[in-house]
Amino acid sequence: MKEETIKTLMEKYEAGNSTLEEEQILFKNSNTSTPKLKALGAFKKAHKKAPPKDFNDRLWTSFEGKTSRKRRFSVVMLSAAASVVVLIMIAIYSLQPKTLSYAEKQALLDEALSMFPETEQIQRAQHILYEDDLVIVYTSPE
Amino acid sequence: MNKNDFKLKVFSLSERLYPMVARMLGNATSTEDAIQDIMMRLWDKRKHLEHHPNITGFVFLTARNYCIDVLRKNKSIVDDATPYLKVLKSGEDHKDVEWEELNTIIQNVLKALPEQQQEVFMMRDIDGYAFTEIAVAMAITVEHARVLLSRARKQIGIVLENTYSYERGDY
Repeated sequence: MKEETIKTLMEKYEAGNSTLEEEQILFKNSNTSTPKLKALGAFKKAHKKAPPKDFNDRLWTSFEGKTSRKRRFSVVMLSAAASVVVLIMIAIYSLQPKTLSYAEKQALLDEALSMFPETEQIQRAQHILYEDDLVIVYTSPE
Repeated sequence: MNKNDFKLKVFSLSERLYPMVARMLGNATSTEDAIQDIMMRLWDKRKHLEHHPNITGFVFLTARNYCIDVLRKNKSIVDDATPYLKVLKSGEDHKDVEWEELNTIIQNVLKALPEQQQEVFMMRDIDGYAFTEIAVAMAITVEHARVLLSRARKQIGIVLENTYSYERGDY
């Protein structure tokens, strides 16, 4: 590479205006260049970390395995949570006081009424003469 | 974002992240694990990522922040970024001493530089990142990244120039 070209590229490099391609060109032949460029080139080369071969593919396989496991775990956790909710609902339902049907209520009231036999006798002894919403007129043997 | 989109837009950047993560964390096994972890984090954020204006930038920023977190947790972070660099010996024995000396000189210059200048220098000159990637990862503008890099390069250049002038006897 011409000395002039190296000088121009070096100026651009130091000003932070060089592109990655220009920097590649500059350091490509740094071994035969100025000691400063040679030193920088050696430093860059020594510390540069390159990814191993097939890095992306290998990592993707491992990543897919992990995400699938994670998904399976989420499904299991969701199923477990749903089961717990169902069990709680059943427990709540079974703990609620049982409501009576109409016939059961009728039977219960009849049973309660049968505990007061004199009420029925009093009612039978009464002879109602007049009855409306407000007033009941009746005769009684007493 | 489905798995295919994620693979194409995000996961494909794994290889690009490798130099920075390897340099910051220092060994190959932890680098692979770290990138895997970074990708898992990004996968969890895939709904947010879908509408992000700069996915590449976001990936770089996430990776850098992840490395800084790991270093902080391991308490291995110090007040400069040069510990990320390890001395690598050249193949030829007779050049080992010269190389180690040179390496020490550049590392010492880097240590003396402000943290942002060190980081920009390493991201550009060692990891080989574009200015846009550096700017996003460091949350600065491209112009600012250029200025920081220029200052770092000039400083290193001056020290190397002085070293070689001294060796040549131009003093």
